[in-house]
Amino acid sequence: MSVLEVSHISKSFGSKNVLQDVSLTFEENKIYGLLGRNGAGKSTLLNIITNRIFPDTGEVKIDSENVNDNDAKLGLMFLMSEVNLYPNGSTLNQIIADTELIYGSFDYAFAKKLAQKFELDLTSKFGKLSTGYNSIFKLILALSVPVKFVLLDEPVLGLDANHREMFYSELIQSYTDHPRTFIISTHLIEEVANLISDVIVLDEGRTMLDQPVEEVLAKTHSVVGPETDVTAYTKG
Amino acid sequence: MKTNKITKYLFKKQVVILGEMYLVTFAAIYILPLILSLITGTLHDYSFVDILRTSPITGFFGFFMFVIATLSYENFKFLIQNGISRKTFFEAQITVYGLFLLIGNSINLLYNYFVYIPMTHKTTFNIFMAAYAKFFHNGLVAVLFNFIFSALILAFVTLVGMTIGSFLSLFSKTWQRILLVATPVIGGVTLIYLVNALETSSLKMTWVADLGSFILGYDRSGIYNPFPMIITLLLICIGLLLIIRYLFSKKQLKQE
Repeated sequence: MSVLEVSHISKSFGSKNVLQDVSLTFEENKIYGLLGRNGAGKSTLLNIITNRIFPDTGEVKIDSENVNDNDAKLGLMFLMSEVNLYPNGSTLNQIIADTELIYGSFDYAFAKKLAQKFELDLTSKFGKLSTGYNSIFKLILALSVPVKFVLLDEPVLGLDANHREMFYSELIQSYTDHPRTFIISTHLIEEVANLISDVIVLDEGRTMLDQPVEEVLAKTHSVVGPETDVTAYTKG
Repeated sequence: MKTNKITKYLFKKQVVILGEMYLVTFAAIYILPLILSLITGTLHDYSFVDILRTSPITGFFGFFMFVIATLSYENFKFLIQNGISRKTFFEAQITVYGLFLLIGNSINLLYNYFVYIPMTHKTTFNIFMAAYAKFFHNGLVAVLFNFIFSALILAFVTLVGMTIGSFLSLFSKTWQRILLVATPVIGGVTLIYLVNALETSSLKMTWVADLGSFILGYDRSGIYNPFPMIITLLLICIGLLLIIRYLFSKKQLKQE
């Protein structure tokens, strides 16, 4: 059972403290929702977890082993993000082949099936993709690589409503067929509310909430009534 | 563990660029003058043999290695996306450039020994042949040391390229531009100042000249000893490798 641990991570850019002493644990085969407003530090945290950037303090471990400069542990994670790290001149088929070469295996049949479903031409060049298809291609890669931790940073960016629905449905199917840990970072809370098992809320670089969804829901209450009464009640 | 896979990936990708470089070189050196001769009606002046005799093919390879070595950030992006550590990237990249040096250096020397010498009857086609070849009494040993010496010079050029590229890759595009403009200016001014200072100082560059003579393997007989130079190049290359390894370990994804 693999566990991804984030211990006391802090990170500043100039005078701005983006993350402040963040500690989290991600267990295997769960779907985490990493929620927060724009600029809350979600993307920075995911970049640090995958060793793309360095924290000022703290460390990231998988099964008690630091991931920094550690192929064995870094190879257990895949981060899909808005940032394009693939060569623009390569065709999607070439990128898939190179990804397969590096990971040692790749669910090519599944990727092909998804490409057909989303009407994505795998002979296209990566640099020629529209914003939406760029996201779709990276999502296909994320669902097809043999990793234990799939990190999705704003995964549906640029996708239309139909493609978003298709993606969430494929994500659930993929998770059901092959359970692994998903960490979905988004500010579209309502879209992932029925998908996630655990919720983490970041606010101004700090962890505000880190609990299973069930526990969060058990603590919630609905207050119904005229606006003035509700406001007065919630004010205490 | 993944070094072999990444070496394979980088080699596959970069050997295509190496092939393209040789093709472009061939076209630029041999085909372009032919076309220009045809256009200008001076075909009778065009001599394939003359061009073959004077073309600086060895220089092109060194220049190619320097340029390709400066470009590491694109590969870093793809590899970090796929969970490859900086250490593995460094090891694989050094292995690939090592293989390229073997290929390029072999082509260079084969060209010089089997094309240049038979055509020009001149044996002084590189620094080693001009200064150090006579140190060896056995021709085959001289060829072997020519290969080692040339490879070390190419390795030095490549590692300098890697050092510059890796250093610049740590900065944002704005800072890269500032550094690229400022460094030659500051370097030039410093160099002029140093030269002036040495000329006017009581030292009169005696120690610099002595050190230079020692490294070059100067001997009054006129037969230079290549070993001080080989060892110096080897030590510089090791030093550069350590610097590059450090710079690779500091690579991060930039906010672009």
